[in-house]
Amino acid sequence: MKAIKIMSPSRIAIYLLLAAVSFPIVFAYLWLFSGSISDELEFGIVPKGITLENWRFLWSEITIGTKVFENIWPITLNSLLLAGSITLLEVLISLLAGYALSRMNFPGKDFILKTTIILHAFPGVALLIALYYVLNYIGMIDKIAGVVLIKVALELPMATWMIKGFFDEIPWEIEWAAYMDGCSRLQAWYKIILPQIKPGIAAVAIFAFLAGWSEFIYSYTFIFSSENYTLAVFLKNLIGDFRFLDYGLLAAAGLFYMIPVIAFFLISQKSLMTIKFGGIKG
Amino acid sequence: MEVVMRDVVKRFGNFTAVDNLNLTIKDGEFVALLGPSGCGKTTTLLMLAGLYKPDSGEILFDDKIVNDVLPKDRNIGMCFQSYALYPHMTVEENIAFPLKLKKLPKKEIERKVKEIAGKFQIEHLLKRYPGQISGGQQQRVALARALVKEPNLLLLDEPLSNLDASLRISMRAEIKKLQKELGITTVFVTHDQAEALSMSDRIAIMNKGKLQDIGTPEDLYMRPKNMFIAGFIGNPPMNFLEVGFNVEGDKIILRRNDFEITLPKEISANYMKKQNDERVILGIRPEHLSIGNEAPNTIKGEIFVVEHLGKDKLVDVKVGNDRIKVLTGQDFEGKMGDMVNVHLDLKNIHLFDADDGNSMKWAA
Amino acid sequence: MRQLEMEICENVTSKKASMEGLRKFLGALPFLGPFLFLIILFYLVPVTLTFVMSLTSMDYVLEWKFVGLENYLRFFQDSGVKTVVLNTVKYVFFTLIINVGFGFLLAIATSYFIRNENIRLLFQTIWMLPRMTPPVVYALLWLWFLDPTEAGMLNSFLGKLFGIPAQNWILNNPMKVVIIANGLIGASLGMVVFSAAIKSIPVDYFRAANVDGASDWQIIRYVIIPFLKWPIMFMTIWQTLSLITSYEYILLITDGGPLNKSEVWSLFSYHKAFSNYEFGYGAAISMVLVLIAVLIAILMLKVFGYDAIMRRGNVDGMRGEAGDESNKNHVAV
Ligand SMILES: Nc1ncnc2c1ncn2[C@@H]1O[C@H](COP(=O)(O)OP(=O)(O)O)[C@@H](O)[C@H]1O
Ligand SMILES: [Mg+2]
Repeated sequence: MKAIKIMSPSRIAIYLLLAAVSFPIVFAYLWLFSGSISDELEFGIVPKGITLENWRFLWSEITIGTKVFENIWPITLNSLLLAGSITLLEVLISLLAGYALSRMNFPGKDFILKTTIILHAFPGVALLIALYYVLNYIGMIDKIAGVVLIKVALELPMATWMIKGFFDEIPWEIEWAAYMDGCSRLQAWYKIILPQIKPGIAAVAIFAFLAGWSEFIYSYTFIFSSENYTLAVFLKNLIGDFRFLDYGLLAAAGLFYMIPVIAFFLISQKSLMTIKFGGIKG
Repeated sequence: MEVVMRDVVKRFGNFTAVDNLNLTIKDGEFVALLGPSGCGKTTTLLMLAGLYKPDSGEILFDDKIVNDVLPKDRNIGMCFQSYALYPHMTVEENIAFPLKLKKLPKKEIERKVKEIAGKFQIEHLLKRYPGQISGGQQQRVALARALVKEPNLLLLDEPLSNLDASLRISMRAEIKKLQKELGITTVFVTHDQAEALSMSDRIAIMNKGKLQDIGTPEDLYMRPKNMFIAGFIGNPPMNFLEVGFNVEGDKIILRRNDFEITLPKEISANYMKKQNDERVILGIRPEHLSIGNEAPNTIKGEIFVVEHLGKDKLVDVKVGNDRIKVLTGQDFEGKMGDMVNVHLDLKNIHLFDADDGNSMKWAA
Repeated sequence: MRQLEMEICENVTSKKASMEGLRKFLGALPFLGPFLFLIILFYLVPVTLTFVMSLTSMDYVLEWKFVGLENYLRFFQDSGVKTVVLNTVKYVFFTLIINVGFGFLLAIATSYFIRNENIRLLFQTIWMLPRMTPPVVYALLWLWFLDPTEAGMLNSFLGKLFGIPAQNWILNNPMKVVIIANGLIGASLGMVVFSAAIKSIPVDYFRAANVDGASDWQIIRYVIIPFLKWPIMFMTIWQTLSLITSYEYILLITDGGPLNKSEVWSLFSYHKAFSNYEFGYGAAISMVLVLIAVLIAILMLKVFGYDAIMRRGNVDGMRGEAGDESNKNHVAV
């Protein structure tokens, strides 16, 4: 019934319209790519001659006037460290809390659940000033670890909520079967329950990593020393100085920074498409 | 292993799911826990398993109180309604899992898994995952997993309810045979009375959290203690008619405006203690009714509908505002709207108290 | 309820209920501890601190000099505030329209009209790109696109095609730029949520409508929209909440400029604190905003009910994955 149907004009119009509004986005990302490998573009995105000059930040210093930019590799390492730590902590803590909220019963559980829901909607950036004070107080200002803690805390309600959902989906009977087969609670947890929510954990981890990798506002506000810069801050500074001057360099640096995101899109193209994006950004 | 439940109560909030349950299951016995959905069967089973803890009362295994023994230490095999196979393990790993936890040597595990797989004819499935086999096969795997560790007690929670009809009937026989072979004390939960009747040594019948009676299938069928049991056991179910109860001499006369039945002396003797003119419930099974000529002591009615059951016909007869079902042979020719006379096999009638539903025969 | 049982079973009876409760809580603490610690340290403490700070004239020395309600009085008298509040209202309102309205159109187009799974996925992926792109790179794309020189994408495009002279888009239309840039990001969230909702409509409704000879438009009007009413309302409130307090993209693209023309409330507070080092005043500005956010959150709870929101965690949660395969025939009738 569906195969031989001829497309109606209205349907064709919708296709065209969708293609038209989507075009600028595709165009912009194409530019990012071609701009990074060429110093001259035709029609905005067709490269005229290939050059690696724009990628020079990978092997040499970038200077503007007398200003010398930081080497990108330690900064990349910082970003990896930041995103990696956020991922690890967020997954670990939300696994623990999600399990408790899903399968344990204790006084105050309902309250914690409701608070989590509200926090899930509550935008942490509104608290930036106070967060500055807190970080300063606990001696974590200007440290990557400080940004890690904040980012983890602000993403925890959502991650915990998701993980709780995964635990909720595992039927009690499976857990019970494990007890009948002779498992202790701990054994049932890591031999039977954890393996079943692996895909969910992976998804939470991926999103935690990407969120950490993309993180800008906290690094920008709470980190001052250049040795603690992350790629986001580095690129922001680069844009400040090279805008109008060298878009090729900016495109290359931007693309370099995008690598994990692109990898994510290529690897998970289908399975992760419909997954949670809510509440992360406005 | 002998299992005893003594005054066991289980509440969920204000709701009493299992109410003062007393039950003894003898060693090697196959007991069915029968009752309508939501009557507390699963809750009872989970208490035996140790997954739920009774609010009060005691559970004893071979005279030892086990209320505080953890599920993993009870050596129970359990098979859930949903099978609860571990989706991330192959069939082989599923079956081997309880043995691995017991830290048995690898060789022995392999041998035992092979052996039980042979018994359940699932050797060819060992390398597959639960998601890759049919419901009937999953069910066998679940049974194999429950039995491989040679448990002292086997708990089965509606193990057949997700299977199609023909498979269900063949599995009945298989489970029964296996249980007798292994001699494992078994509690089998079901809401299907045919299943309970055909498989079990004794049936414990529950309603609304309360144990109604426990007895052999024949007992429960022939001598139901109350209307609930009478109505629940037997298919098609027993007919109930409200009648007036009158004693005249040594005979009992059951009377209402559309018929009158006089019970012979030997049957009346069972029911003598009632007062005159009380309302009682006459219960009689469709198979104890027949359609015949006009005669005294029969019930006149109009055929409402005739259902074909294959071997038999089930005739629905309108009597006043009530309807009763009569089981007849395939050769019965009556049609809708015909007036008929229903004969009662008076040896097989039951009388129940209209107030509490208890059998008047057993009230003594 | 069920989890309760295992709990009891693993421990020998302790009679008193309150003792039992405490014991259970302590049992859960190893699991919940880190979670609670971080939540308290980075939500609860900051909210309280924001309030206390707003009563001080704290600056970068971080000294507590209490000044009572002075910051609030200043806020309500500040002449710049009027622009900022007006900008915020404009920003939230128009961005919302894009987020929800355009998100809805995208969802209909991709989930209802496009029946080829791969093409649908292609378009949805394209629209997910801005959301997944790091904010700094996303801002870079906008800066390049709207570059005021001849080399800027839009300028060179319009110049070559229509001979329109180069102009400084961001300088001339800061609010429009900010709104569109944020709108595109929110639109993809709308698309994902509404698409999930469309896919969860039982296929029988579409079949019935087809049998009745309904046109596409009628199906949208009488089948899809009634089902989407709830998600649309939800997205509206949810996005309002996140929009009034988010300023990352604005900071990166216009930084509130030129001359406060695209300064919004939350960014205003940020600038007061981290550009002028008026922490106390910045906190007061935030505090008013936090109060508004909390009111909206409460409104949301009232309108949708706690349980519905709990479930929503699943609507745009990972559930899509499994649902995808089984539901994909929904509209392909
Ligand atoms: N964990 C629970 N929490 C609250 N009520 C429950 C729980 N488990 C069972 N019940 C209630 O107890 C009654 C008996 O349930 P169950 O034992 O599962 O019945 P069944 O006889 O169908 O197996 C039902 O009314 C059910 O709703
Ligand atoms: Mg049950």
